[in-house]
Amino acid sequence: MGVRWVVSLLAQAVAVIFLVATSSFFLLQVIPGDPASVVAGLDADSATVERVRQSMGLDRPLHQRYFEWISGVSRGELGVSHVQRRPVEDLIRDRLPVTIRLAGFALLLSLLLGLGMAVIASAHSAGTTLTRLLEYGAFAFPQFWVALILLYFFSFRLGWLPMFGVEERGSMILPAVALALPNAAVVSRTARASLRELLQGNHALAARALGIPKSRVFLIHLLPLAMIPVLPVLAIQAGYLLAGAIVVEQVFGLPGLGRLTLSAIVQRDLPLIQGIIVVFGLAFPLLNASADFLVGLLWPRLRHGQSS
Amino acid sequence: MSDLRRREGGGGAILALTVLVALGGAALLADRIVPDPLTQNLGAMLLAPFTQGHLLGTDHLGRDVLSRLLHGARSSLIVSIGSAGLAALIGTTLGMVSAVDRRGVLDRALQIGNDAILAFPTILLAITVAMVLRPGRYQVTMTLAIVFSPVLYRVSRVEARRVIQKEFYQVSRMLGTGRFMRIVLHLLPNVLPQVLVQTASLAAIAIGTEAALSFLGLGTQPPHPSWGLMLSDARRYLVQAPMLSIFPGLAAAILAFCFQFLSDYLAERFHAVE
Repeated sequence: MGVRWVVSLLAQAVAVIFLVATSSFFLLQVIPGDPASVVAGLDADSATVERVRQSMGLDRPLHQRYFEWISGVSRGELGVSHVQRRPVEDLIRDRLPVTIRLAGFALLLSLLLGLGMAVIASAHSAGTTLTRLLEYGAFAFPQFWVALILLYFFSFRLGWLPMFGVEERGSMILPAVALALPNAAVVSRTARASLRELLQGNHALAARALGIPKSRVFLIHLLPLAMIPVLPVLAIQAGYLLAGAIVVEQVFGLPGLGRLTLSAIVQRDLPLIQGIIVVFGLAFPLLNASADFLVGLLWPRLRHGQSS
Repeated sequence: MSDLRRREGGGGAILALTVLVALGGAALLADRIVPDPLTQNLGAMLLAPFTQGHLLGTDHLGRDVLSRLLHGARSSLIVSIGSAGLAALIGTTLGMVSAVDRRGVLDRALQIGNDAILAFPTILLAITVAMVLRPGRYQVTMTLAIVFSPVLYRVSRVEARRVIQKEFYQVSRMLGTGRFMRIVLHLLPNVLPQVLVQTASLAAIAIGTEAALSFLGLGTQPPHPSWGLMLSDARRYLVQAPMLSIFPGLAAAILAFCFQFLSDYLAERFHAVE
């Protein structure tokens, strides 16, 4: 049963990736503007444009290019960038570490912040009000705006942290905080709701009846259980973190996947955009499947009926 | 105690609604109550708030900030209400259709399509569509509607399935009520509360997303003022005129806050009814 469960999780992920790869291919075919004439330059004559088109392989029929693309994706090859004339997977590999470091840092931060907020809220009624205010704030203020304001105060005014780039120490702190805040609010909301339910449950009552101190019941007995709904939420949020990184990287001038995406768009570098969409599309189902897997692994009772 | 709480929440909800209506009204009447947001005055650049008749100061081209904020509110409101409303229409319809599909083929197909859309990060899909359709605020509205509809599809499908299992629905079916009438009479009224909750929450998300896309140059296009565009201009003057950066973000936060607050209030209300 366990094997079938893992296989079904993987099969779902593969199906979604296939769909994303297919739709990104066809979506980008209908974009107005001819990539061949962009590459050939503004003052190229029609013969040159035609030659460029041939060298880019764009003169071949659509279905042929599609099957080439899909089989390439399954081998991990994402085509060659029109503009930079390098394999797309190499370009992405160069930029990915910065984004992953940023998103990973932000994910960790949001988990800690969110759980902290949930614990404070559950411990005291004044804490609930404070946490709810914080949650609303984290939701409502646009991420990139928080990034700008943090930049202004901590870099310009106080001079504590570096402004741009990745070279200096601590350069990841502000971007990660800006990126983490909305996620922390989501984590806190989820954990808070599940803690509230658990606190009223028999589990908590029994533990208290056995004479275990309140704080111990709370932290050791209930907090791990409250994590069950948090994990899948965190997986979804991790995907959004990657997307949020596009904007935050722009504000802080970090050379990550986000900057690569924007320059690919400006330059109409279709293979690169396709490749980035696939990488993002890959992240979502994989993160979801791993969250489901983790939940099922830690709490086997929940393995069935996970599918929807 | 819980009764008191609910009443407190009610006051907050009325306040949120009032702010929304006031902002909406101000955005609608912006042409009458504030100067033209496009008029440049290079003699009065980067003025501080409360100077020379500019309540919130001027930007780097001497344009009135308050006026740009109110006109920018139009973009935010069009995109947020438009996209959440459209998503509610699409998602709820498909969700209920999916729930009543007895053979399950359509249901399956819709679910897979749903997952595929969910797999696309919002910003990335918005960027792609902005490329296909050229950037603009109506394009952003369409994109966000597509991105948001899975949320409402899921919610309404789950709620509808719950209703289908109830006796009154089965009785109605046995009495020969047609499928369409069953959807309209039995499913829609029971699905609507949760749809409303989610729609308000999505409108809140749309505010920030519109701002982010415009900030990147992929959303609202000049000369239409937008809070995201204001921020992308203001960013270059962060040191000289930090207030220029602060106002649009605050405005976006207030609007998003109101929508989110309404959503939570509705959620609590409807939960209490159950």
